[in-house]
Amino acid sequence: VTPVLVVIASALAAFALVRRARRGAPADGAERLLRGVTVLALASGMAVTTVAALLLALGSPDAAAAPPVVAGAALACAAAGLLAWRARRTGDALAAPLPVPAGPGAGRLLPAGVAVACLAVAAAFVVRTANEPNGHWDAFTFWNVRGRMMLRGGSDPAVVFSSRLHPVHPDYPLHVPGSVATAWWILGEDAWWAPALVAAVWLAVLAAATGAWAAKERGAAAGCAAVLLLLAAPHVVACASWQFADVPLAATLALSFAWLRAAWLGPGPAAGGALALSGACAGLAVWTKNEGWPLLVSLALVVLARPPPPLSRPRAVLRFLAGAAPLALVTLAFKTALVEPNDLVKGAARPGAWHALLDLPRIGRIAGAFLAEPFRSTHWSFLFPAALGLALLPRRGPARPGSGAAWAVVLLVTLAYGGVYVLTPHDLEWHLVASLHRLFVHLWPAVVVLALARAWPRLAGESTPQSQVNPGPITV
Amino acid sequence: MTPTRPGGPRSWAQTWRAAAAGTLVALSVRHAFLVSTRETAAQAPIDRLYAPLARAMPRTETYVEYVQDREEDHAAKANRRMAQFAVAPVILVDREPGSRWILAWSDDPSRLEGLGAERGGRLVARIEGGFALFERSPR
Repeated sequence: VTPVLVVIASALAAFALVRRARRGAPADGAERLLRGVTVLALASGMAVTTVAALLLALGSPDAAAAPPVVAGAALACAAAGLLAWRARRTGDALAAPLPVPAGPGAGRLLPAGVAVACLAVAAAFVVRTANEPNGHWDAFTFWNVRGRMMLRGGSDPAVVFSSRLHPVHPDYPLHVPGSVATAWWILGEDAWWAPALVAAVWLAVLAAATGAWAAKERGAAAGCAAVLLLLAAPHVVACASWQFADVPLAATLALSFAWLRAAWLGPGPAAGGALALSGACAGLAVWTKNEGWPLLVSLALVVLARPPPPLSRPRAVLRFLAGAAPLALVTLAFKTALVEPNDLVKGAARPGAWHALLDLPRIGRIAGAFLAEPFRSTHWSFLFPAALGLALLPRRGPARPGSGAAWAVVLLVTLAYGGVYVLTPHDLEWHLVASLHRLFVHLWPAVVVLALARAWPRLAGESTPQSQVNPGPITV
Repeated sequence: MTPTRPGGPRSWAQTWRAAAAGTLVALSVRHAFLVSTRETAAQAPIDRLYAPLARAMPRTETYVEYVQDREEDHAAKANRRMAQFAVAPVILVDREPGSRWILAWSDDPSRLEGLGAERGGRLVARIEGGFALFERSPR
C-alpha cells in the first residue's frame, strides 16, 4: 500500500505544482498535453525520491508496511489532494500568448500518419523487448540491477550503493533505478516486464512532449510533423527498448526546452511559472543522468543572458533555480553524502588532466566523431543532417522570439558533452563508440522542434505570416 | 483543426508535404519490419535465475560465494556474469570462502551437487541455466 500511496501523493503534488505555475495561462490542446506529461514526469521524480528515502530509512519494503508508515503516506496523500484541489482554481485569465500563424491545419492525414508511426514504433519496441527482455548491457548491468539493490540492499548505503559489483556505477542518479524499484515494490515481485514498461512510458512521454512543444510553437500540424520526424529515427526506439536512461533524459530535456520556450511565447505574466517548470524538468534531468548537469547549467546561463520578457534578469534566474533546486539538491546530497565520485570526476581531478584541453589532435578526433554521428544511417536514417539542413534554410517571416536562446542551449550542451570527452580518463575511441550515439538522442527532440519551428513558414507555404493568425480556442 | 485545403486542386506544396510526411511514416514502418524479420537469439530473462534465488534466500543476506567447475570458458564467464547481475545486491564473491550461501554453476548436472558439498553446503535449490544454491550451516 505504501508505494501506491506515495505514487498517488506525488501525482497530486505534481498536478498542483504545474497548475499553480501556469495559473491563468490559456490552456489549448498543446498546453494541456504539455502540462499532462510534465505532471507525469515530475510525479515520477517525486515518487522515486520518496521511495528511495523510505527504503534507505526503513531498510526494507516489509518495514514500510508498518501502520505508522502507511498512516504517514496516507496523510501525505490527503495533503497533496488538498493542494491539488486548491490548485484547480485557475485564477484570472491572463493575456493570450503570441498567436500561432495559421498555416495548413493538421487535417486528417497527419494525425493518421502519427497513429501509424506510433503503432510501428510500438511494434518495434515489443519485438526488441521480446528478444532482450532485460534490455541491453547498461540496463542489466546497472540501471535495473540498481533498482534491485535499492529494494533489497537494506538501509546500509555501503551495500545499496556498493561498488563491489563491477561495473555497477553506484554514483549514477536514482530516477530510473528508483522507478523500476517502485514498480517492483508495487507488484511485489521483480517482474521482468516492469523495467520494459517504464521504458515504454518514457518513450511515450518523449513523443508527447516533443509534439506538444512543436504545436505550441507552430500549431497542431507542426506538432504532428515533429512526432513523425522524432520517431522516424530508428535509434530512438532502439534506445528505449534497451531500457537505458537516455530516453527518459531526452524526455526531461524536451520538457525543459518546451517550458523555456513557453516563457518566451507568453503570456508575459505566466513567464515566471513557465521558467520554474523548465527548471523543475532540468532538475529531473539531473536526477535522471549525469548529462542533466550540462543542460541545467546551460539553461541557467541562457536565462541569465537573455531573460524572457517581461521578467528582470534576477527574477528570471531565481524562478528557474527555484524550480530546479529541489531535485538538483537531492542529487547533490546523494552524490556527496552517499556515494564516491565517479571515474570521470576522478579522472578530471588527476594531475595534468586539464592539459588535454590544449591537445588539438584529440579535440580534432572528438569533433570528427561529433560530425560523423548524425550521418550514421542505422541510427538516424540521415534525418539528423536533414533536420539541421532545415534549420539552415533562410527564414521566411519574422523569427519566433527567444528561439536563438534555445539554440544557444543546444550548442552549450553539445560543447559540454565534447568537453567530457576531452577530459575522459578512458580510452577515447572506446568512450566515443560507447556513448556518443546516445548523447545525440538527448538532443534530437530539441533539434527536431527548433528546426521545424524555424522552417515551418516555408514548409507550410505561408506567404504572409503576420496577415493570418490563428489564436485558437482560448480556454482557461 | 482546420481543413488541409478548402477546395480546389492539390498544390505542389501540399503534394510535397504529403510526400515528406509519408516518407517519415514509411521509415518508422520499415524499421519495425526490419526488426521483426531479423533473426536474433532471444535472451532468457535474468529473473528465471533471480526469482528462485530470491525465494530461497532471506532479503537480509549480503554475500554469496560463487564457484564453478571450469575457468576461462566463454559459457562459464557468461553465466557468471548473468549470475552476478541477477543476485545483486547479494554481492557475489569469487573465491572468498566463508559466506553462508554458495552459488555454483556447472554445465554437467552430475558435478553440480559436488561443487557445493565439497565446500560444506547443503543444496537449497536448483536453478535454470546450470546453477544451484547451497547453504552452509551457521557457525
